[in-house]
Amino acid sequence: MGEFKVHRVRFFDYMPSAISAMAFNVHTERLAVARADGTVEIYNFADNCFQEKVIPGKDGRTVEALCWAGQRLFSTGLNGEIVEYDLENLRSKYTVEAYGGPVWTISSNSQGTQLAVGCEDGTVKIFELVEDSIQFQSNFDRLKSRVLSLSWHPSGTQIAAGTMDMIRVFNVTTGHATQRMMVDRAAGANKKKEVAVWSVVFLSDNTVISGDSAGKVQVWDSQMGTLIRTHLVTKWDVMALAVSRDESSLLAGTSEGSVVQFQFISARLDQPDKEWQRTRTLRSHSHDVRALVHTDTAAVSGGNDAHLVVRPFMEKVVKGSKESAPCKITFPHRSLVSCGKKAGILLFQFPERLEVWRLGESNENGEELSVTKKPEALIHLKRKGDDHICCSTLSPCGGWLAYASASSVRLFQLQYDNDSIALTKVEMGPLHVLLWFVFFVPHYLPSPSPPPPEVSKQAVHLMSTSDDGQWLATANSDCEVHVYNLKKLKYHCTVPVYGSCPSAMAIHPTGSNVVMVHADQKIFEYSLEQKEYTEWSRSLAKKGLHGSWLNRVAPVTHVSFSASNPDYIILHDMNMFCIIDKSLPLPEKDSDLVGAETQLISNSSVFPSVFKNLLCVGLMEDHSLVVVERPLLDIATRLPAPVRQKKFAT
Amino acid sequence: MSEEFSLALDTSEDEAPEEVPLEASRAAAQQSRAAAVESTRREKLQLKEKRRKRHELFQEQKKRRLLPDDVLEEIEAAPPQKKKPNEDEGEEESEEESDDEGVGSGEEIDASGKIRNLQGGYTVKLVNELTLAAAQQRAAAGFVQDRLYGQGSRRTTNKAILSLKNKGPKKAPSVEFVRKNWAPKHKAKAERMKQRWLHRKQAASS
Repeated sequence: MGEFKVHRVRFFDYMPSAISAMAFNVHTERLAVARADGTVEIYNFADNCFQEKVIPGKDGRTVEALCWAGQRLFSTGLNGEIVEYDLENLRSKYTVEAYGGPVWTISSNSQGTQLAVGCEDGTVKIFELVEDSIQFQSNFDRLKSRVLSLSWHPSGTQIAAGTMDMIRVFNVTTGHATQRMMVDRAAGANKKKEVAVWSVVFLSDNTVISGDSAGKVQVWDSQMGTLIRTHLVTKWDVMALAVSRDESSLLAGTSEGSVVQFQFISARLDQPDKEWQRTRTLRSHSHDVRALVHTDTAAVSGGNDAHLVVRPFMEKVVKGSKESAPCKITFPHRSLVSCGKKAGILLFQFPERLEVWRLGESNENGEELSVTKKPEALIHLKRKGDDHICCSTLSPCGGWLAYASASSVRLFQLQYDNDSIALTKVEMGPLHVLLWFVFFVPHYLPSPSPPPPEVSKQAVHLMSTSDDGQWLATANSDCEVHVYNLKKLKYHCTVPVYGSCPSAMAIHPTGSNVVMVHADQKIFEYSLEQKEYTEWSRSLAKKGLHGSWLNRVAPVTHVSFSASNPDYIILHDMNMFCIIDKSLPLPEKDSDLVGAETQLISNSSVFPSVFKNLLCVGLMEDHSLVVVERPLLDIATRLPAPVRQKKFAT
Repeated sequence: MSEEFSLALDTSEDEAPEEVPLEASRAAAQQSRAAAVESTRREKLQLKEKRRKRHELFQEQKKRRLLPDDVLEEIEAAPPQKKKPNEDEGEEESEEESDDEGVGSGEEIDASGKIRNLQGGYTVKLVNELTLAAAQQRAAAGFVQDRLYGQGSRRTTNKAILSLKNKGPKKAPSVEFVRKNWAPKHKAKAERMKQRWLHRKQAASS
């Protein structure tokens, strides 16, 4: 396979943002996750939890709550606005001012016709969903303190609202409060502090379950307004509650990072009467759990440590199947690093700025080389405007830099002059396509001529060009891959649609094949001249990929090729990178992959667990490999403060 | 002793009450009424005076916070800047020379007239006002921050939690055992001193 000089890059200070809210759409199996900086991500649970869409945030917009109403996604934040998102164009469709101060929570009724929002001034406002917009309908009786959480009764006639120190049950049609439940304050020193009811859940048998800042999960009878049961779960806050669809299981997320499950079962097997009993504790996080979702088979949680953790319940899934594997998503499923192959420079994308670095140099030989010339930061470019940067790219020669946000696309030209570097802005002509990723071509990207009529309206999330600038391949979140001829500015062909979304795509340097890796870890190679799958791809599909490859959780995020050996394909995902050699025979399905002299040469067989937490692996023109790592320990030291944990004998 | 006893006997119920003429009593009643009215009037006047003084004091304080009147007049008089500096030359600006430092710095100025040039080379720019909504947003964020991380929240640091994992039968050092980036300015200064001393030594020896 040969030797590679590896640049191990750790100076990309990527900090993922904390998860502040989540909402699951049961019909389409999509999970919407909102982060603290305002970004909203959509994960497809039917497709191996692939991050399909990312809607970048905006300055001054924080997301406190998310909810689905049918196919429409709404969010609210502390700036007092209700935002509806356009999921095809990946931006906010419109914002409606709620006129109640900061909005803490939003919830839709089970029929999907009305939205209730809870505001800082103590009002609960009802909005009606009309086509393409929402309209204010009515206000409920005003409460004395802020409304922190809301829950609709499944019938849509009552709403439970959690405020400071109490829970109120409202009748939706009259808008008057029918019941008031006072929540006890914490025992001991914190008795003077008001209790904030962070979340409530209204069940169909008129039971209300609440989680508050004193660490209690309380079960109430909403018709009588009495407390049925109290469970003291933690000394810190219970921030999130989620109930399953059949209302037999409840999850409570705490500030300690644990998720506690309660189930509606009888205390003894022979007794018929059921009540909410605490069953298991899932310790998935190290920091506060701010958002929870209870799907039919798994508990999905997210919080201040920015990991999205999916823990399936063992009694609901078949052991050993794909569904039963826990999944932890930390890094985005798209590349934030661009390599300027010929110039040896890297572009790092942050939400508010871009950084361009030149790689260091070393003249030695051996296992570990000391750096003779240190890597230096060349440019630190702040974005213009309020919208966060959603994609950026660097040309292979290092002379052109482009970035795009939801409102604008900007292009810059870089000039190197011995030691200094100059950046000039270039005016661009009008572009019609909303770009998601831009892999650069040596000249401007013109708007393509009329695309084929069957192209869906979903946004393009991957783009790739060939080295000679002749071909352009685009992939969108409807799993379609189209190829265009840039020299003639015409549509060329479409790859047959496969069920899973492509997670990484690249065109071979010779320009003849496009390699796609999908979210379910299948690899395909399509020939552009013959407009059909290549021989190698067909034999791979017939033989099937190895089991340990298919069981990997993280999707492949980058595909690149080697200029010296056209048979090599270099792939990487979050935890490993490997090189596929097409000339070697395919591995047997059940054989042991590690150490076998077969086609898939994984780095784990050569360098066991050396490169971890990878953000990008690219091959430079001088045959040196660049591995951009972001150790999870570095991220963990910069997160917000966790709660004090006491370990035995320390 | 008997006189004291007799004092009590003096005012016996057998005697008729004193005869007080009507006018005297009427006058007394009127006087008391008038005195009452007068006292309330005086009180009201006093309160009014007090209020007036406080109001004036507040006005004075408010005025003190604003810029002096003549500066405000000058700012109002200066016409607002247009978007591009070329257009400035076309405009007739009587007073000031176009000192384009504020304009030509490459900032994007919207044409709503927020930047004005004054005589003597000063530029006045209207900064974004902090609205009520922003104040409410900050207050709400402050509420959450105070609840979760404020007083009595019993939190610790990330480094302490990570070091906790290293404690056990196989002890390992804490995550940040040595802080290499402490006192950077002092270290830089010491480095410079060292270089200077070496240089001096070399110059002296040569």
